[in-house]
Amino acid sequence: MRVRSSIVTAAFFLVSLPSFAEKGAGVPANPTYQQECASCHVPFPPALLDASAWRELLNGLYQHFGSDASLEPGMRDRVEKYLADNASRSPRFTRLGKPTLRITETAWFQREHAELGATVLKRPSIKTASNCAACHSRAESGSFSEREIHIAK
Amino acid sequence: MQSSRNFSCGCLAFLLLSPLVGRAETALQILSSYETLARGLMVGFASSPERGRQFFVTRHGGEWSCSSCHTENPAVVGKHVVTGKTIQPMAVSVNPERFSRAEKVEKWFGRNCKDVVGRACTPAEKADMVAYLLAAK
Repeated sequence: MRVRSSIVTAAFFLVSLPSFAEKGAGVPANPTYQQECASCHVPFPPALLDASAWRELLNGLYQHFGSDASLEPGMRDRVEKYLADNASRSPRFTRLGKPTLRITETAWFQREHAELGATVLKRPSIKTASNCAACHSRAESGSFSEREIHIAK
Repeated sequence: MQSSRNFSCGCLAFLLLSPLVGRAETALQILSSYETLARGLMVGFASSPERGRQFFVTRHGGEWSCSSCHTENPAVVGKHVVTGKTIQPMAVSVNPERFSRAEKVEKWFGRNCKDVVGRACTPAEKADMVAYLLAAK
């Protein structure tokens, strides 16, 4: 009886630990980043790219994946500091080892989402792999907890 | 004791309504500034919600119209045409946050007109669109 209750307690404890797949968990949200960068897409967690990738993105905001996302210089510097301070320490490459500015092309992202198969991310309700909020119900608040996932149909 | 209750009700109404009054004034002020600028370029200009609506739903030589993301009904939630991200309604009648800060309005006109129209929108075009979105229900 004592053994079983310890096993149950241990199991309960393990289940309540945060998932190690939660990159960026514990990084406080930045109001400037939220306000300036989370209108057209979710606020992507800084740890998903390294600092030089973030800098390159912020240097090219006037042509940001087909849109003009320019920021006035003060804002831009604040966002850059936040992203660089909380960026991944190692570069994030594609599966073929190439540098990329697209989080969805990184080997890490593709490993995390491999179990979905090729067609799920193309569903009209999801539209694109970068539409995190379609399945990660609290992505707009920067939360990617396993428990909050509901795959859009 | 009736008079002190009236006084409290009056205070409460003032507190509740004053942010709304402030916002309504700001939105109208924003419209008025664009109209003034437009009149400087075109004597006798007056904004037109219908002209604003037409501008909003039309493509201007590019792939997108304003309504591609904001939909043709400003009172509903829109969706970014590329990212799929939800966009809160533009109509002030359902979303009082809209047109409450002049520099935010200018920032988004700057970006979105460049993307949709391929150039800056004129003060007249901005005035028409603001008039449309103020009138939309």
